[in-house]
Amino acid sequence: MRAEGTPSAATRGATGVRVAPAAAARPAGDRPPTSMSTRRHRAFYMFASPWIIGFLLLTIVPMVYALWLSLTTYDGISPHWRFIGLANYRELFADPVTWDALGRAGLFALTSVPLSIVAGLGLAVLINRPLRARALFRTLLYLPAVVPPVGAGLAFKSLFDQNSGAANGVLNIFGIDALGWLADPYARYVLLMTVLWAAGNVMIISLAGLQDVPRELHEAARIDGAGAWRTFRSVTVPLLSPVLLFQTVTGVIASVQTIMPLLLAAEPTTGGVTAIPQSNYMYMMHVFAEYFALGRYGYASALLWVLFVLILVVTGLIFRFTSGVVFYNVDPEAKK
Amino acid sequence: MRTGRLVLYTVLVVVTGLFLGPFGWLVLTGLKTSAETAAAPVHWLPADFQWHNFADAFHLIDFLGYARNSLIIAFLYATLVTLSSAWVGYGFARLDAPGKKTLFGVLLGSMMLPQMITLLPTYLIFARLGMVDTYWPWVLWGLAAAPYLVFLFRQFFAGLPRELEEAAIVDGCGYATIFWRIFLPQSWPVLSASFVIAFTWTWGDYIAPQLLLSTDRSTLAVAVMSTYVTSAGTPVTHLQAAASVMYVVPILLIFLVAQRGFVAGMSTSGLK
Amino acid sequence: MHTRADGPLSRRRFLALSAAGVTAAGAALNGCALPVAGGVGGSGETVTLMVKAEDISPELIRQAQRGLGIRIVTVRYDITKLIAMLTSGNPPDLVRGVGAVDTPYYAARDVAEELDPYFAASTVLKADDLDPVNDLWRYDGRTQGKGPRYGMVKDFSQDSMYWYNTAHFDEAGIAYPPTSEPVTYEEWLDRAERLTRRRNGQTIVFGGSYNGLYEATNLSTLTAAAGGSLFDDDLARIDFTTPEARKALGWYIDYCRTRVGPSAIQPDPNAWDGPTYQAGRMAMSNSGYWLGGMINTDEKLAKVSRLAPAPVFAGGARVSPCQGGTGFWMPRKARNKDAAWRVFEWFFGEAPAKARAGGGWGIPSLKSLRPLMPAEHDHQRRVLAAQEAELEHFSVISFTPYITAEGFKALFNQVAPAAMKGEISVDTLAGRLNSTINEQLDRGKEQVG
Repeated sequence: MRAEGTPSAATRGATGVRVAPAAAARPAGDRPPTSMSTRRHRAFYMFASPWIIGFLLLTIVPMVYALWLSLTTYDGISPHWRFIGLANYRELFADPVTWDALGRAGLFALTSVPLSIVAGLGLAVLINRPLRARALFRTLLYLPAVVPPVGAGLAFKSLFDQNSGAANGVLNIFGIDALGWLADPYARYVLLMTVLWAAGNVMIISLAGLQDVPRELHEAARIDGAGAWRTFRSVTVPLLSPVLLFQTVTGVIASVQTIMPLLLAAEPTTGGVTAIPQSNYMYMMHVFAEYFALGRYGYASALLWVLFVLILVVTGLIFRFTSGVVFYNVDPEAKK
Repeated sequence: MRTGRLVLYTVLVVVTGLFLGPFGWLVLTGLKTSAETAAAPVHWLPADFQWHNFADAFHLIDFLGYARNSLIIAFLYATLVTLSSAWVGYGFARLDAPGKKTLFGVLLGSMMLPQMITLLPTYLIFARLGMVDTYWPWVLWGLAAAPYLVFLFRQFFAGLPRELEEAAIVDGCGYATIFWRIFLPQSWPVLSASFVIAFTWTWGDYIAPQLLLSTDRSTLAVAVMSTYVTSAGTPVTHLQAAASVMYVVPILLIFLVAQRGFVAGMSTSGLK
Repeated sequence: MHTRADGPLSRRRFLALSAAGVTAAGAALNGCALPVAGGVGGSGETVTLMVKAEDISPELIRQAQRGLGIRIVTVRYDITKLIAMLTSGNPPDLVRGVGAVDTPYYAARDVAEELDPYFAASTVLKADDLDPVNDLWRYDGRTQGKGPRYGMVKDFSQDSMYWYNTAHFDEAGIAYPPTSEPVTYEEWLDRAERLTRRRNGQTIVFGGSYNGLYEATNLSTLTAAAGGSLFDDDLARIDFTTPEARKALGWYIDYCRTRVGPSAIQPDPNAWDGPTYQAGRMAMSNSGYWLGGMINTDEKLAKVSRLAPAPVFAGGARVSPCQGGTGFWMPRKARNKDAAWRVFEWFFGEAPAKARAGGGWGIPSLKSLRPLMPAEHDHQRRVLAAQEAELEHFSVISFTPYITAEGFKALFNQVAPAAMKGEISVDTLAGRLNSTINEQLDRGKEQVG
């Protein structure tokens, strides 16, 4: 272990473990037998410490930096940038482009997240049955989720190219005229398909959850005369509900922050964001344009902070609305 | 019953076909000439299969070198982050302490943070630590646990029955022992899922390596994205397609191995 | 100590395990990832180049090590990374840039080193050998093309020229454009429309592409061809409503609206004309000499391909600028300037420059290297003749320091597609472009000071 000398992760990791729990954990020595709950408290901080330390160093510092930037006209390179208070925030709230981009992102989340979850869960249920060659099917279905974004972008771009693409080739076979898939208004559907294509991600997590649904419960339900659908609805879904909640929350976050529209652009570079069809010009793309193309780090940081707060609120609402619906064997929030 | 199975397999084959379609198209694109990728109306199959495209794509860049870099980073990060996230996730699922709820809120909140917000400062931090152009940032990220995976583990651990740990607590075992001896062995499905997810992230990420690594140390994702160009800098689509196909192979192998973990989960379910 | 807390055994084991993992990986970390960004000078010097993949090959890097004894480390060009490196006080020693649009930007912000003293002392890069294209890398604070040199062009093309495929002209029964005299832009577009062939909603043959290198350079070149200037004298304002700029904008929007070639509303998934032109699906391609690098490798294509002069507007000027002029500049705070200059000389004047000149992907930026341009076959000589005649019409068109080409593109593409689809008039578009781009120019002006 490289404990001494140059900065190394190991030492930092070790210091990390040392610092945070110190507040909660007293030296072991000759102490009176600690109560159950103190032990639990101390243990909690011991378990949480790696994240807490990493969070302070690798997240809080950058966030505060970005917050500071959002109050300036900083563009990274020009000599005369200055502090402008909340002007960036005022500008972004007054700019219709912000709202249009936000609306598109919201609509996209509302469609892509439920569809992905339904598709992923469906696949998981399908593949969870006793099948021949199950491992093969599982791998093939998961395959798209591991295709790198660059490759996925490439595949869908060439698939849906108006002139040379396979999609229009199929349409032509049926005597239908070719569509400009990668332009408005169809580009949004191509984007949706690209995202659904990676439903394998939802599938494997649901699958992990399904493995944990005891078979006895299914059998019990069957003996009670419940059909497949009812069993699914009243046994599988409730038991999967923590996993589904997880999928919803992370799905919303991922969909709002997706950079897939960029990779579907003719030039999949950070500058290529500027030639994205209007219907795919979502909030994150707007941030990219301001950040990379216009170099407005201050303004883009403000946009990102607003996005962050918005997602926070939306997630809070999701948790609020699902609190009565999600079923845990052990409620992690319950006081013991 | 028999027709039921027939329907099931038919559905499965059709769905799998749909999912494989775009990938198949990518493979076909990788087998065409540059001009053929732009043919209209569409050329379904290459006139001559350009198998050498794959060899060209392999030799045009130091494919193995970049793959090795990607493997090191992805393996390192996925291993560390899976362990650290399970560790943290256990705390959030099975223990409590004052401030836990707030911390959990913060954890979820940090997941919502757009990665981009940290781009510039992250570089500046690692530059100050002298870690630019090394793989240490991935070690640090790995040790720091990933909120997404912490959440995943927390949800999983929360779903295990309480009886699991009660006996151990009565026996006087420490929580670390409980975590290590009782919970981790129960968690193969999530552990392997987490490993695969983390591995895939790192394997597919090009923003962080692009920002922090020099060309030679960079990853396959960055190389595939930016190296298949003509002397004028314009992209060479068919080679890029071939490279993207080859780029997927290691991930598939990892998945093939790791997915046994999901199956193993069958027998580890707690309610027996 | 933490190891004495509850459940020490397992926890220690956990930590030990992690540590073992780290140590094992440590070999890899140290073996192949020693920090180099510091570039501490030892016996052999190290120069950090921020480049794109096409700029320098691994083989050339090995040659530099052998020939110059200088180790070249490359980092991939990325504007955010460049800014991060500049901010952290550790910039690359040489950075690739596009002379036509980057020179005023970096020079005005005082981050680029003036290279005149280096040029004056150089025995490799002599002043009278420099092609006029290198003036793209000069900026005196008001005009591009004058003042100190901040960089040099690696090779170039006159990007308003276009290639055409005679087979398509034959098929459509249209006379070839003359190879020495320019056609008007209106004639060009008229031909493009007649050459375009569509079927089943697909464009089987594009009549012609005309997007320039960037929207910014294309439109300022078109405006110059109409006899005007897109920017005002101190480059701080843009005006699309002058008769010349309005004419240029109107023509470009017409080009997009007729869909005779790729544009923002009809994207080409390949992002360049090469594959489409090679597939015999494009009759005219607005690409300069550089496209010959691809065409030459395809004998059948080379025989039917011709390079034609940049079009003109009736009553306007004949201008044929280089819209790119990619090369290197040296950050003012570069750590290793002398070694960087040695690499600079080698890259622009020695073996790499000679290799580029013979490759046909660009015109060399040193006059003395012109004899190396490919001229073996008839078609190559024909292209060369057309190109040499065009060189007389080269000029530098100033770009503003207050916005980047990417920024211009972003703002243009937010507003222009509506006009390309015929939803708003060109006059409305001109007004909107003025306000949105001038807003950014104002910001730039304020920050440059």
